[in-house]
Amino acid sequence: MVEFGKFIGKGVIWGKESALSPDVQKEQDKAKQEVMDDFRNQYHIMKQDGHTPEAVWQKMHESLNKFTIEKLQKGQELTEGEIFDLADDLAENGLKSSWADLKIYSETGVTNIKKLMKSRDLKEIEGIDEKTPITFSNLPSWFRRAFGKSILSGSTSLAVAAILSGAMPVVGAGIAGMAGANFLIEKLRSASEHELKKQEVEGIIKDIAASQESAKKLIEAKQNNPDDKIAINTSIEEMLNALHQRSTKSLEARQKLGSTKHKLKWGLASLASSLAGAAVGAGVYELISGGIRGATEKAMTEAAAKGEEFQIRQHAVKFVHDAWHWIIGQADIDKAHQTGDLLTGLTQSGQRIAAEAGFAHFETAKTAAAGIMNDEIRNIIAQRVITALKNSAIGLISGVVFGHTAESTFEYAGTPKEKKEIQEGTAKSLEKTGETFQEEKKKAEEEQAEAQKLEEQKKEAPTIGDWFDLSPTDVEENPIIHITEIDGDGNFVIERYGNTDESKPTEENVKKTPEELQHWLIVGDKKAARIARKGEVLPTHKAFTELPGNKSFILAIQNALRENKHPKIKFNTNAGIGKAYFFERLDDQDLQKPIPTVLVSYVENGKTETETRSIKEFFSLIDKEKTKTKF
Amino acid sequence: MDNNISYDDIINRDILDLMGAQNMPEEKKKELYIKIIETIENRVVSRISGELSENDLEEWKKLADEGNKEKMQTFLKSKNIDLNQLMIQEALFYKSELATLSNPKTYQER
Repeated sequence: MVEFGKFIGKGVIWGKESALSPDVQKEQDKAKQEVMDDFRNQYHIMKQDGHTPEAVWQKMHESLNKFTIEKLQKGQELTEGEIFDLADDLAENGLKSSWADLKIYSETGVTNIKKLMKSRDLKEIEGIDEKTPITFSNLPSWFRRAFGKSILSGSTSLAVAAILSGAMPVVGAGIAGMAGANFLIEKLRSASEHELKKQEVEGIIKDIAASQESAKKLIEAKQNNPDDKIAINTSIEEMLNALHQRSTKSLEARQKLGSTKHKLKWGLASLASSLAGAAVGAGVYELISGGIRGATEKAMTEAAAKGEEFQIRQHAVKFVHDAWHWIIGQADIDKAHQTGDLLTGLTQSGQRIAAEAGFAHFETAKTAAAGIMNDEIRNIIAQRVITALKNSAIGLISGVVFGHTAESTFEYAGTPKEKKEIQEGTAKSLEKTGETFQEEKKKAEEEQAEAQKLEEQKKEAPTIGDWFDLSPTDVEENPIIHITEIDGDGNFVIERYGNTDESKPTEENVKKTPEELQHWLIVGDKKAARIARKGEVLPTHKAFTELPGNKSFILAIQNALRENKHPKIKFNTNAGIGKAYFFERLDDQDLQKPIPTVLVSYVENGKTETETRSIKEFFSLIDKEKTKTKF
Repeated sequence: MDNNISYDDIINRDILDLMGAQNMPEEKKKELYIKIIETIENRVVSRISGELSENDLEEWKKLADEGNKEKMQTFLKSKNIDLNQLMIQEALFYKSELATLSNPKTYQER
């Protein structure tokens, strides 16, 4: 915020008026007088109430800027002092500045732009008229959080440079033209430290018009024919083509701009050709087509293949850098300030985004950062970090934490000893981060290999459908699925049991080895399972694949049949005694073929009943039993 | 497309998906990805050129003529230009821009 004394000094600036009509001038003078009177009254009141001069200034600053903005909206020319105030307000207060409420509506915006173009002897620009929605961008909240500070950083420089050069409308239009206006802002800023060249002004406005116009068609397509996929896809393609064409033309225009200076033209041409394809190395393709995580993994894989550990770190730092943009945007500065610790000011969502943005080791970074914070220079660092946060010096943060960019972004003003300690600390944390990445990567590779192996094994094993000659539909509808839900909450147990006719599990039997266990399959509820398996209950999906001694339920039956034995399936309700079923093959003993028919036997009231049934009927029988016994 | 675009969306979702493309053939998508990348590259070149003085560009031209990529990279580093960083930044900005412009709600708010 501008100091009070500075404001007082600005009072004389009001004397530097441009030539206005007497009426307008009179009106403005009157308005200013009212503001000044109001200021004086409020100043005295606030002073009596014990407010600081800064607080008084803040109050008045808002009023003054509101007045100035109204002038701007009316298309009235601003004084240098007013321009400076607006720029200063933007620089100091960002989106909380008076500008946040500024709206340069189409008509005024276009009028101002045309006026500007005329003043610079430029021709009318195609594709821009009163219907072109050039307004101050009411940035979505997510975008403010994500990029607000960096945009403001660019806007600030832009505002100071462009406003002072008389290009006020362009500022509003530039911000309005593209939510991610960084490109235009950077372009303006870098190209016009003191003065905008007319070709650049023209190019910028054309860029704005092109993006707005191309987007308008797409929006119309979406709103008018939301179900017309072809029209929407075509509009998207046209929009991307238009923006691509504009960016190419802008670049060409920039090269032509340097045509009077041969070396600039050729320097740019060689730059463009040299950088072609650079996006591939940076993982841009992955970023636009999927996610930043993909880009990170790609870079890590490539670096690992080359044995370039440093590249992994570098990449990590790069993504962390971006992640920190987000984190800092969400940071609770007051909290950090109160505790003197940056980390306590970070929100959980910020941490999560950092992790998702490719920085999977946020905890490591926190630890590393905390390590630095805890040493004797902790307070110095913390204060500088907080200051940096306030000043939106994003790069500094990643520098502090990782050291990688410390020298280039962290202008440390401490003693040589302190500086050395910081460098050593950050280098150490960087080393640790790099090692952790390697360890995590190795672990991930091992897990992936294991998962792949299991997947292959699963493919080789016969499925329920394979073995029992059931179609996928049959499998879905087959009662065998119901068996898996006998306890009513998604758990079920299948267990091989001893080769006796014991109707219920015993402590003695469960102590037998898988080899000793034969061809009994026991299906029961949790309680029965605990007895049979010492308390182990397998979830449904695991029961078919992780049975000890049997790779699966199917394999258990398959093995038993191969040994020409009669597998039996036993139902057990609450450890009580249910019916026991067993079946045997009746076909030609070709074990590779499905089982079309089985001989089903069951024991009831001490009497064995035997029936020949298809396998489907067999499971239907089981299903009926399940229903009957109300598992 | 959902009117509320989140930062997660910008980071992790396909840009064409964010723009509302539906059932677009893979070949067409690849073609548009290339177009997007070229646009990003154009913007990066513009940004870099803005950061280099005419003398720098003259020096750059000599290095480019030599074709020594290592020297070229060293040169950019000496000017505090992190090419990868710029690429990712511009990609994120462009992705944000496209998503915002393509969304009826955010477009109207602009």
